[in-house]
Amino acid sequence: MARMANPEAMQPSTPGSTRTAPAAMPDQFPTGGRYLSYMLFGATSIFYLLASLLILHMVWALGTGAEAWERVMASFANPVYLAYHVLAFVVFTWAGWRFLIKLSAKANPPKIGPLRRPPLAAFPPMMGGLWVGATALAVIVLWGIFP
Amino acid sequence: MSPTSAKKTFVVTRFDPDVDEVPKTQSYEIPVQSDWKVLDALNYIKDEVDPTLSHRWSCRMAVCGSCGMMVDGEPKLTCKVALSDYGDVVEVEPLANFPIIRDLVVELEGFMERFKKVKPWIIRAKERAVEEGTFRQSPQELADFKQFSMCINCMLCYSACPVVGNEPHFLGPAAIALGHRYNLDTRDEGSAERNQVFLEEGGVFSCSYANECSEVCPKNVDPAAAVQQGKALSLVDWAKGLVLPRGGGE
Amino acid sequence: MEVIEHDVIVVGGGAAGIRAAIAAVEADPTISVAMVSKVYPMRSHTVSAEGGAAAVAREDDSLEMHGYDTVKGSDFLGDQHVIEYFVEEAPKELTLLEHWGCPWSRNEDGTVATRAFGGMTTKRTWFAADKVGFHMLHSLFQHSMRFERIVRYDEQFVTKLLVDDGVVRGVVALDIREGSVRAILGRAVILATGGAGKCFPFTTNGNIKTGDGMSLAYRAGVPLKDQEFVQYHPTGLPGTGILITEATRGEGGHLKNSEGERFLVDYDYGVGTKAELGPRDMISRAIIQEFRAGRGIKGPYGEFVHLDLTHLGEAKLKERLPFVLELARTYVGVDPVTQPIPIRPVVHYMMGGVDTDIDGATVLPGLYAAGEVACVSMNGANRLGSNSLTECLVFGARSGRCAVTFARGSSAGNEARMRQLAEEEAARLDTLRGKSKGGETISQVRREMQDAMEDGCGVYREQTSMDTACRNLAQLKGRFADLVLKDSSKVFNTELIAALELGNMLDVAESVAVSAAQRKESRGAHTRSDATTRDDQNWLHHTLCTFDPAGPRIEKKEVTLGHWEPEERKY
Repeated sequence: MARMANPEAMQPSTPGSTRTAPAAMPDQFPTGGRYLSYMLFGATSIFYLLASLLILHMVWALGTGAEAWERVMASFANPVYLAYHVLAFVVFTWAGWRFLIKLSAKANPPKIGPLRRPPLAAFPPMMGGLWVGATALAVIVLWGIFP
Repeated sequence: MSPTSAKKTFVVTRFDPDVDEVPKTQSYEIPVQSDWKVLDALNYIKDEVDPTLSHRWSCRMAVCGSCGMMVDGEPKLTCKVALSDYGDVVEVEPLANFPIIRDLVVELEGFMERFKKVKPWIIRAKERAVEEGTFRQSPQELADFKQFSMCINCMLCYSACPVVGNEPHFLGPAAIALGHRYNLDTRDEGSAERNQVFLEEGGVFSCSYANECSEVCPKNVDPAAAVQQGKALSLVDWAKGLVLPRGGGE
Repeated sequence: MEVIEHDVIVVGGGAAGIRAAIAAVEADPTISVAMVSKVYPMRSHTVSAEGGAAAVAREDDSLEMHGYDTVKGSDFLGDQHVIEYFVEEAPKELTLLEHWGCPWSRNEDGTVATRAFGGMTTKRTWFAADKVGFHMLHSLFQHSMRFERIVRYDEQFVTKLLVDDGVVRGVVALDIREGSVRAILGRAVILATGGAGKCFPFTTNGNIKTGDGMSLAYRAGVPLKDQEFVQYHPTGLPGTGILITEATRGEGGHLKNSEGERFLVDYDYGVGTKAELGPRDMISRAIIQEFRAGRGIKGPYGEFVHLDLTHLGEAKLKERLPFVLELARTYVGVDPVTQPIPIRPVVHYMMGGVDTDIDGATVLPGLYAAGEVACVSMNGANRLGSNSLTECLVFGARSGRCAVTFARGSSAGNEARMRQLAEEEAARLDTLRGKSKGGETISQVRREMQDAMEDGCGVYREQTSMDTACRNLAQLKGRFADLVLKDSSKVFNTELIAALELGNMLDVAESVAVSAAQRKESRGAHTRSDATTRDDQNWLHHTLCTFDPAGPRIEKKEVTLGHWEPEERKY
């Protein structure tokens, strides 16, 4: 038997005139079929949290002094951190693909005020270009090539 | 002369509130024809095997929206899906996320309330008189909302949506798509009222964009798109409300 | 027994019913309307109409032309004052629907687009791609939700009209979910329950089209008019009977036989240069003639011919006929972009129905009817495609207004008496539910009824086959009394509903067969191989069929002619 849904799910505000059996969630929920990628997409938020903590940590180190900063930089060479970084790269790329390439286009209304949405087909290359461009910029800056 | 037949077993949910504490299943082995839809099998069971089986159906051409059910765990319009796409054992259950009235029949009143909540009608400050003739609306303006007007209220999207089953106040995909359809219609002036509803608890921001509604829609409506667009437009309205005094703006 | 009171009761929630309910509440700001439907209104069969709704819209068109086309299409059996009113109101009603949000397809300049349809002289059919009934129904239903005074009773099956002192006072409704019965009292009742295609085995109609309203009126002593005229739509999918819209021909589709010939052009079937744009009765006959000449194509569900759209191009098909693409691909595995669609004539529409005047009023005071259930006599012996959706609006609205006027002048009935009648009806339903004594099954009796209708009242009919059908139907009515029912549950008992529907269909089927058997000429959709010509001398009149326990009684009723004189019907 499938998992039960919230007992109030899709119930009218006043109960119907005959007794009903409670609603069940779809059989495949939460880890079967397409629900898996939906749940995983939600789970990627853990990586946003970790990235945010790291940034906070770096800001703290900057404020504390050169020694603290050196320690943070040194920790980046730790194999655990490198493994995490590879994983984060994969996760962010997949999340970016799912959201920016696959789902973001149709989320734009046909018009906002006087502005008309570009054709839906233009979004994947546009968003993809933006993604690659932003990544390239970050690499250039972090590598120290520019400025 | 009729197309070749074979046998299949249907495992069907049964529930009679006068007798059963909880739903149970019953199996029927019946001869099926190669060109049948799932609904044809249910009708065969009803007519020839077990007249106590209850299910809703009417048009059998995928437009009245009555015959949505879970087939092998996925929400389907049973008159539209071919039996040949399924194995020798087919599981048929009532739509997920809905209370069950009996057998394959689910409670729709909850939806009817949500449907009305989004004010699915043309709202105008001043009604247009018949003598003034029709509104002008370009094919492009029509195309902007047309696909969101194609919903047949079959409820497959509610069955697929992971939020509907967990968040009892959620308006749900079809109702939001319908409200959004009127918001996009150039003849309508009621978007501020509807966006108010969209911003309430259970409105557009309850959606976590699983996109399942659009995946299962049998009429290629894209309710997920409507909900996200509703987020954008209702936010624009909300922001306007912060900047401009109430009733100002347009 | 719960007793509920409203001012006006509308039975049925399709286009005619909803339009009537809206007209009623708009006509009087104080009244309340009960809309009682056996399904949620958006499931009503209006939803399946595809091609369009007719109303004069173009510069090159006129009310006179629409009127003439309709009269001629009716084979001069339409009442001309009704048709004149209809064509005049049609553009207003469709405009109103546009104001209510119906997504009509548009021309580049933003005006409403129109398309060609069978039997119409010029392009006057408004459309929303090829889902016109769907969009009209949903627009109407959604618009109706703003009126708090329209109170819906969804999934409530009306089983009886409450009549007292010769005036209708309400209805008895079975709550399908609860299995309980209640009396809904009102000072006027409008029937808008649609047709009865399910009396036939092969029909475009959905499962709910079981002639309920016709039977309700018939059993209350109101005659059914022109029941012999049953429209066969030329283009249904073999096997299922799913409708492929006439708009396919309006947009330029061709009908071809097994030789690949456009038989409407290559042989003389009376449609002249109109070819595929001829009226439905003539094209259905032409297809049967092709079968008889050995030029049909054989398939698992009998013979068919081809509807060829391949020359229209994918872009046009996608824009104008997307639903046809979906239906052909899903239900016969054919892609109309590259392959012709197999089609054959299929029962589609009842020209006949509850006898009403132009107000929708029946001979029973307080009882009105509109839409397919009614015979207001605008369709005569053959309805033109795209006139019926508009008819639902025009006469739905008028009957709604007229019912309000009647209700204002009528008093409430005797409640105790009504309660007693309703309790008797409840007892009858209780006896029927799960009735274990009997030897006949619903599906068997239904199948035999449908076969009797196909054999006796098909596209071509003759005396012996019609007489046989009458005898078989009378016999089936007897067997109906011996039904055995297995489901004794009260909650959502669809077996009980099916039994009640079968009873209704038997009433309607018998009225069709008996009306057909007595009309000894060929006119419109009533085509006899043993009386092949129209006979205005003896048969230019309506048929009235009245219920009698001993068997249906047949009378004649005069046709209202006007400035269009009957002439030979040739295109």
